[in-house]
Amino acid sequence: MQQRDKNDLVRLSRRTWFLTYALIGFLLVLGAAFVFRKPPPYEVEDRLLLGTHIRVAVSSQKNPSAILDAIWREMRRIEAKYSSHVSQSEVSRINAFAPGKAVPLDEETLFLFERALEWSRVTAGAFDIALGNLVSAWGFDRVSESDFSARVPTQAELEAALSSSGWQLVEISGQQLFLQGGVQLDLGAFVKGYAVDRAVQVAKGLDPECTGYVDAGGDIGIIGPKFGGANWVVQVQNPRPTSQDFFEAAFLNQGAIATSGDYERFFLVEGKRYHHILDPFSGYPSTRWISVTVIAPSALDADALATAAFNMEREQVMQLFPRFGAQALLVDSQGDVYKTPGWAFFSEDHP
Amino acid sequence: MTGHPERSRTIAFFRPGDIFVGMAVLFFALLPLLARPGEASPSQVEVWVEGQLLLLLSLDQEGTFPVRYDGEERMQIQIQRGTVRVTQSACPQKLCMQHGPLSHPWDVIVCLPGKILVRFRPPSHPSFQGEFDLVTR
Repeated sequence: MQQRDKNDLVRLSRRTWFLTYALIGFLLVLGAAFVFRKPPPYEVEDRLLLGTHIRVAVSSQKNPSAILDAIWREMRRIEAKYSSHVSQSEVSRINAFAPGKAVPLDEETLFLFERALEWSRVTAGAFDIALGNLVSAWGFDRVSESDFSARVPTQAELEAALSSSGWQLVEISGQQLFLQGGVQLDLGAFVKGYAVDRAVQVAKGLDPECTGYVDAGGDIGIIGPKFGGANWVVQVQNPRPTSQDFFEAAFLNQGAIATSGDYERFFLVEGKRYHHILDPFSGYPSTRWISVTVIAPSALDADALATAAFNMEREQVMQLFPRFGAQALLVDSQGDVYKTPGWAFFSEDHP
Repeated sequence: MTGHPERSRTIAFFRPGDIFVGMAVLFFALLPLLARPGEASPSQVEVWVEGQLLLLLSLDQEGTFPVRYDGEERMQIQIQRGTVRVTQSACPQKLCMQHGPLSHPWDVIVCLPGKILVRFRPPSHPSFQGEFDLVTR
């Protein structure tokens, strides 16, 4: 009887150990399951806003539909406030002011204009939001294909437009804006970049853990890494697609990427291509590059720098952009490709 | 007379409840693998006009389909051998026709003047093994 009790004690002790190990194993498995848990699926929605196609992909443990709704609300708000094609927009209101008259600005608009003018100063005018008259002279301000009536302006029209264009004619004093000499503002792609940045901020504000991206016609802002840990693979469109549509991939899990190309909006006259990215110095479409792609911390900056680079020499781009945490890929009309040294980092799929 | 001593010891060590615990641990270990999402290929195509889902067509349903909205035909799309393309468009530049067929599960055909989007459903995106996710243009 005494012997049997001793055996039971040994058996019980081993059994306790076994259960302890099983419990530890179970907790480890539970931890692993948490770490490698199935990511929530991406909700992908498309809209036509800001004169382009916008796609937003969001994955969230919380409420991705609510995040998407908030993003679209914000983008519609920005379109209504800053589009040149909306008669009640802030830009239309400012452009309607008499030259030299003080235009009061709200905080958001002040931020946008200060940022834009800062890029104009830094790029020595290669980026310029005060080319509204020049853009109109070429007819690139038409909002849709059905209303697209671009044409080569006469020399007299160009000179008149140039004399009333340029960021030096825009002045900010306190919270007021002054437009001189009949200059007209055209925020164009700058607003698209801003809308992308705001969309990313809205998403992260609602769920800091959410991931995905906002793609506004190729201006892309990353909300968070793919499935929480992988890079998004972004292909750069070949500006002259022949055998291949793309020629370069960039791997991003944060920040933004934007491309400006002479193939986006253009018309042909006697075989010559006239595109919508205008040289603020000559008044004609820029001819240095046929495509510029910029990776930057924000879509606003990527947009501005991609436009600026079109009017900059290669050496200027190589020296200036990295100082602002931006990398560029330039393609000239011969098909030659130039990259800032830091671009190489984004060419590889770092884990 | 009491049987093999080692076997008796093993049976005593693993009680039925212990085996249940072991099975449970194994099950939870394999669960994340079983739950991994698969690569679903699209089976339907959506046509959105002015923010409204106007048409939902099966890719098995071959033929040419008019996209009518507000009493006017804005475009025609063709479904053939699992691909979708725009064959007619009322817009002036007809960029949507130049797009060609939807080439990837997450590709989209856009007609800005007609305010039309054509895309697969679901846009099974992103892919674990996809060659790319996005295009900057």
